[in-house]
Amino acid sequence: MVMDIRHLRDELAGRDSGEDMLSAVHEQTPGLMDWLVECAAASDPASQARLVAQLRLCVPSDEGIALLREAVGAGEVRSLLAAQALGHHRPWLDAAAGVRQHVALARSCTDSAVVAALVWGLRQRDEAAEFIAHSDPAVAREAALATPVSRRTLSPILAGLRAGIRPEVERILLHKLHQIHPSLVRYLVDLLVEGSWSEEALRCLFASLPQMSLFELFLDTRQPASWALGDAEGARLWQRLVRLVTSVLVERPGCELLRHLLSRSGDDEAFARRHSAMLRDAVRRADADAGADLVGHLERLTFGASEDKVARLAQSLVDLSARLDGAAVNKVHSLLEQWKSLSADIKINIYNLEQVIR
Amino acid sequence: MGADRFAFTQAEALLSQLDASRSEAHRSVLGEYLKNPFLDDDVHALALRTDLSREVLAPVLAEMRDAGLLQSAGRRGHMLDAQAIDSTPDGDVAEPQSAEVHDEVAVDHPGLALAPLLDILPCGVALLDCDEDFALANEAFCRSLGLSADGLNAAQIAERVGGDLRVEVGGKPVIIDVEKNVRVQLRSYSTEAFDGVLATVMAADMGWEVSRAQVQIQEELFAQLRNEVAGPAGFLQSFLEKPKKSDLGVARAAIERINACLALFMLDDPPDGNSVS
Repeated sequence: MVMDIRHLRDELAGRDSGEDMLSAVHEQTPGLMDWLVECAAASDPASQARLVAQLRLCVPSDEGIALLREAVGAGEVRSLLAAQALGHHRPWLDAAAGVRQHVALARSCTDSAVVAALVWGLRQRDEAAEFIAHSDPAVAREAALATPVSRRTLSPILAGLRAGIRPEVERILLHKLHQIHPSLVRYLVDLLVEGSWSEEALRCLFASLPQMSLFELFLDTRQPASWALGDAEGARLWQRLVRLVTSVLVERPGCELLRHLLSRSGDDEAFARRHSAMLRDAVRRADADAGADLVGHLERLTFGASEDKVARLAQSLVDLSARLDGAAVNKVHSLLEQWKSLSADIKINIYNLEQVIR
Repeated sequence: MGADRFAFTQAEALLSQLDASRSEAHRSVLGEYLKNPFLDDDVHALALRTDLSREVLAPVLAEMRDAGLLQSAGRRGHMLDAQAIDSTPDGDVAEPQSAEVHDEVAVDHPGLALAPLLDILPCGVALLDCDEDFALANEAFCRSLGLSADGLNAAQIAERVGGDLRVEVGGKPVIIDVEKNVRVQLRSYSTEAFDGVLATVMAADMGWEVSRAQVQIQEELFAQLRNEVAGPAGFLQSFLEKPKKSDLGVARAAIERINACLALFMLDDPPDGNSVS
């Protein structure tokens, strides 16, 4: 069990000592607001840094949080510091009312630097997403940094990307989408129906999403999304998305996707036939590092494998040989020679493939 | 000048004063910290913030830690180091008040050699030589005990603490309750330069600092539980509500993640099978 000690000090102080003693202590000891005022008024960076360190160390009570909120709302020089201190000390996150108050404060504030600091205080909270489309670049950037990718935030994130946000904000959001949980990709795709997307925006979006999830959702599944079956418009959109996803995946195939394609092609003839064109295009665009890794993967896949499986994967290995150089090429050649020794058919097959490549 | 540009210029000045590396990456990172001195991002969040790769950022952060510009915050976070800014030439390092104190007490006392050390200590510390009625105290010490730094001597401190300091300090450290939440520890202290008593204030401030450390540890624990237990448990709940064969692998991974977290805190089932079946 973990004891929450954040308010312990205040409770103990209230219990142990009389009011006179408490007020005397308060009179002697500088408090949160004193440091805030001093820090805002400090002229040299050294004193400012010392006071910021002091503000970091103190643990504000509920009363302290209320005072900080007041200071933010006052619109004075110390507003920014108070907003930053509120973002550092976040016991207010424990209550829904606290979060609501914080969001309301951010909405009502007019100073963009203060709003950005308040939005920073909402980091890893869904509530930060509403500020993604903020007119001020600093606020929008902070909101993008603060927003987690979740079921609740996907809609505002996509709305921002669709509407055309600043490149910096777009970069941050796309980077976050790259780490989206695979279970959310289907939901994200369902949200794409909501508005009209430009070809370029969709291409950027798909390029950021996990390739395996996209492949499974658009290319490997036999079931399109439910909205795609509803009417002709939906079906057209689905086909457009499938075409775009194919083009994006083939353009810069990741190592994980290539490995998956090779493994499944080796194991499943129907899969190999269905995706042979895509596999060929993807392998031909694999970068040298991924290529060297794939040769090792192919070697493992075909260890003790049937002739059929080797024949299905031969095309990929020959294609790969054209992308590689140095030691990796020697490894490809030795593997091809090994395969050629399996049977006369495979030998002829590989020979023909090599002639086409040359 | 916009806030971004201002922070960038400040970062430039700070880097030049500390003679640290002055690459674009250094300036960019420091600029972010100067814009928001409460920032405590980890490498991943900083990479996203500055658009630098983690490979570039890791050595930059290490250099800045070594240069005293940043310090660790939590397990992976980094925060601005106030000490580094303190020590820059433009920073107001020397406390004018305590400098005056040093001038006024016996100017040729060997204990004065320790004055710079006392000034940088975060807690209240004083060196006392009762034979020569010499006292050297830092600002935190004077503030905690409500003493004036002007003309401070050993007798004044003895009166405030209560009792003859020479009698109190025999061999073991002695702790005296000066008032509620303020204790002073006295112990003999001898070096080549000084032979006397070292007085350290054990004020409530120190307790707060311990509380802060505990809060930080607790926050990290909560974050870990949120990521490693609450997240996977949420997925399992949704999986159980709508089981899908395709999610079976992820569900299994979620269980493994929870188990790994529980094992980390030694909360998993004991190996002898005492668990409820």
